[in-house]
Amino acid sequence: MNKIRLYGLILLLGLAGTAAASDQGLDEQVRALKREVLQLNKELFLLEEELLYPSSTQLAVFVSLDVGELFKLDAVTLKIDDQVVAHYLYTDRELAALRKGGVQRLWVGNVKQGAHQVVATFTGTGPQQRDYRRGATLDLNKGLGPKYLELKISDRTQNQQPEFTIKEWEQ
Amino acid sequence: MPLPRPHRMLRQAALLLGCLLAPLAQSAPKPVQDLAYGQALFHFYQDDYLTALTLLLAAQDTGKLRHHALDGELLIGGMQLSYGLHVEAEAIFRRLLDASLPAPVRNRAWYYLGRIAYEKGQPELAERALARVDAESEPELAGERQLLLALARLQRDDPTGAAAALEPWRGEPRTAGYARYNLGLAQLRQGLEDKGIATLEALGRDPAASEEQWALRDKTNLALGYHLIQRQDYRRARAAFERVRQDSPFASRALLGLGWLETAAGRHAAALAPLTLLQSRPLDDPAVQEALLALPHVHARLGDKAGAAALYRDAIAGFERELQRLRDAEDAVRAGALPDADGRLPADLPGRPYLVEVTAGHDFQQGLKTYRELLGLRANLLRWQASITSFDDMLLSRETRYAATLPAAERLLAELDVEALQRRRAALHAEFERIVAAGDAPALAIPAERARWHEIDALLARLDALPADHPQLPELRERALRLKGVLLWSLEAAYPQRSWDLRKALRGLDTDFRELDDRRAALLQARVDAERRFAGYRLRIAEAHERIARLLPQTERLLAIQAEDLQQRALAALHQRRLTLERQLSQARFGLAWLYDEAASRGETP
Repeated sequence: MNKIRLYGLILLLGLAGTAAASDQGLDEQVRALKREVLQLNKELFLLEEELLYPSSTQLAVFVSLDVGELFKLDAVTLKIDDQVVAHYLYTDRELAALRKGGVQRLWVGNVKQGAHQVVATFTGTGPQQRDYRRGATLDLNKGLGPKYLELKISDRTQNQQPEFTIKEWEQ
Repeated sequence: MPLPRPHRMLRQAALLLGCLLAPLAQSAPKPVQDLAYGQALFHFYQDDYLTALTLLLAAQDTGKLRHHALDGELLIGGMQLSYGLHVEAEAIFRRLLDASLPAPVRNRAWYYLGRIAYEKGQPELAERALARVDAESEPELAGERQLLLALARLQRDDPTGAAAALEPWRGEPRTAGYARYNLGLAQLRQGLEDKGIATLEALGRDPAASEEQWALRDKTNLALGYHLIQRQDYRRARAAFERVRQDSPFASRALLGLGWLETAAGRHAAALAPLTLLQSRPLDDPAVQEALLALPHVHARLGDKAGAAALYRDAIAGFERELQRLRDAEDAVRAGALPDADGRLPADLPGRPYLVEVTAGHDFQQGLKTYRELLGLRANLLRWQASITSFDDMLLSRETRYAATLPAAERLLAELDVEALQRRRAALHAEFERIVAAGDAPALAIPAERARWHEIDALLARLDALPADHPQLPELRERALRLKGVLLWSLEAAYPQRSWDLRKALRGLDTDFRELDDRRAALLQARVDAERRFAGYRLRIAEAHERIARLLPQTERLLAIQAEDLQQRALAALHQRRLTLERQLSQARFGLAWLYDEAASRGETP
């Protein structure tokens, strides 16, 4: 985490404790609301997964970045069976989150059981600040359970080039 | 001339503390082994705690944190704490104290329990928890622990203990400056003047490599300068103020400090330069307003009565303008312009600099943070309200699809005569057992062999039909029997492999039968469950509708209360600010009147 930003958040001594005691009632009401909304969020998130993306047809595609010094990602285009299903442009904030180890769920949807082809195209800036465009392809077989794919961008130090792969997850 | 209040600078000077979630961050991210955890981190690192918390809680419920169960717990606890859910966070951290868990997890749990105790105003408890943190091997946690320990000791009025907590610094070198700043203040608070001044002076002279370090250096020099004025050590105070950069946010107060110290030292002429420099700065700056009043005073002391009168007139005009801007700011706040739709200060608010100043305090910022969190909750609820209709649609579509496929499934179930199939399987097993018991190799012949076998048998039958005295009969019979013998030999030779293959095939058949049973049972169960499941979904969706409908007005109500609270606080602070300006205006008028009186008494015109 960016300590410079972190330490920019200055908590004033003596004021850094709990919120004013006179606000206890309001504070507690806000806390209770947060609890309820969090619980509702979790339940609706699970319901959404069950209803909109049943495990028998669910395919989810994630993006991760390992180191990311040899390639600055601008955008990813995702095609499934020759249909563009996602095109995503990254902000600096999102790239920073990916570099720290975050994993973005780029797309989730439904596909029939059986054979499919997934093609991801990455555009950005590569070594020597050159425009860079690379693809990765995976032929997959969708079974009964949900299928998770990870589009991995990593630095290949041997030849100082970025590497783009698609990994199938078993979950 | 109003008296300078250098001690106020020190009283207000804050100990600097890292972000609440700093120790959660890994110095080098380890590879994510659960996608759900990585997905939550993606939102966590963008400060979107609501989404990150939701994802983690859902992942916990569905068993998707197999490799990051502890990391997930720590992250949930930390975010809940930051989100104000102390009770939930405390429960998590207490669970993580289990001796069987890895030391880094327990260390962080103790640290956060210390943090919770400190925030609850229980410094002794906080200290006890922090004493359990073994931070030797973790610099990022070590530093946070030291800073928090110092705060806890100051909370119970123990500056000596606070200073001891900060020495030696075990945290990251990059944050050592904050520790030294805090140490210097703690030393001053315990009366160790020379030590405290030396600590702050050394920090104030440190080379700075980044804007953050420059800002800390400027802040240190400013606090030190005012403290040295109090001690009447004007030489070192001047040096401290002169180390503050001219384009720093602390520059105005440093210039004012220079003016004060020269005045206090009786060098009025020397005070003119910094005070005059201040006049060119924006008039809404409190330091500039102080200078507006101080400058004519200094001119008067230097005997320039005419100049002083002119400056008093400028000051009066300036204070009147600023008072009008303040009143405009108050009107805007009363009209509901604060906070804006994003929970911030509107950019085009009249008298905005005054609001920036009065809203910079921790309490107000906490109030704004709460307001923004409530806005986030409302946006979140509105999003669900809009998208939950697609849940209804999806459920309807699934019910329709189910209804369409049900007759075919029913027909399939009806046509499937499992008992007949079981009988055929049993017959096959029985035949195999007979073959094995009898060692009946011909029974396992392949069709070509079987045809050959039958041909030979037919040939033998035909030979049997020949007259017994047929001259070629013995030779033909012998050749036919030899052929049968050769075939039997080859069947016997193939028998072990074939019987093994057949046994394996029968086992496979058993597996297929079990699977068929399972699928049939699942289909039967699904038929039974389907209605119940659809009813369950309908109920869950209806409940969610009801909860969203109930929570949205509740959120609106709390938003209104919070906005009202923020407005009242802002108005109270603006009122205090107005009182100060009115007092300064009175003093300027009084100063001018005094000059007029004095001139009149001498028969002059100022």
